[in-house]
Amino acid sequence: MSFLIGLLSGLLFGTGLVVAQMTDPARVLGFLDVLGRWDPRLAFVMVGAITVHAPFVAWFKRRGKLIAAVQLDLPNESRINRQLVSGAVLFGLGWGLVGYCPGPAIVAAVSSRLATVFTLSMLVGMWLFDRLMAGHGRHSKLQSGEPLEPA
Amino acid sequence: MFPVDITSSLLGGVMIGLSATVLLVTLGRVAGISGIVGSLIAGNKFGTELATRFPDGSARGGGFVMPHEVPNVGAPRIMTLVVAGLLVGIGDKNGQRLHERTWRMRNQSRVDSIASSHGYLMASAMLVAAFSRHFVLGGRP
Repeated sequence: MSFLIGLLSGLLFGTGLVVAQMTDPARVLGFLDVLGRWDPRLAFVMVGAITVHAPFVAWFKRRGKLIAAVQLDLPNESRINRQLVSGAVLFGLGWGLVGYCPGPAIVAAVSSRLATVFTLSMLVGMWLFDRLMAGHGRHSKLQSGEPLEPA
Repeated sequence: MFPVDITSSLLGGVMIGLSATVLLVTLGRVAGISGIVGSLIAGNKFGTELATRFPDGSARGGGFVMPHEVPNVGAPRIMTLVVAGLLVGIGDKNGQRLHERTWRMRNQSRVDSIASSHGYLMASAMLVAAFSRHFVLGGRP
């Protein structure tokens, strides 16, 4: 079941990223560079996604259980702390440098050598972080499979 | 004035929103591709099948509609891409799967926290984008 769902949602996700041209770093940098000729189109991608997703989130919270799985898999930590802020800043630095973030980069890697280089480097970064931080209490491996608690 | 063509942006956004919805209501996962792939790297057994199928589907779907030749106009140097990739990978992990964690905050109606985390991310990205384009690259668009 998760095979089909993963494939279907991935197909939708990847197609959406390309249709919205989020796989084009020039478009993303045009949005991020507010000092230049600002391109606001990325904001409309967010509007489209939130408009569709928000009603389902509300329904999901009321329903309180999942359709095909028994567990909600989200990080346990939900507070703002130094770790989240430094992570957001590092992520933003990399994103602003070349205009790629993980989803669009993985999709663009199909036809772009540059996106492939970025994606491989990103995976190395994730792997390095896990290796270097293994054993550090604050960066212990994520807890998964937390029971669903409807709000 | 920039010609604003919002149709493709809205349509793409709707597809991304639908994808996130399918994942959430069926498997209880947030469509943060880095988190899904990252969980595979971390050896998290839960959702391993999803961890392989979601990126696979994304690449297939994107590859199907993507133009065969992606223009590399104004392409960054390889070393810049490597540094940027490392920063994004480490940053995402350091923030403990930023996208999913932000979703949890939203689920808990922690608007101030969402604004803060997105604010730091966007501010950093905008600063670097503006600085590198206008001061390092000499105003190249």
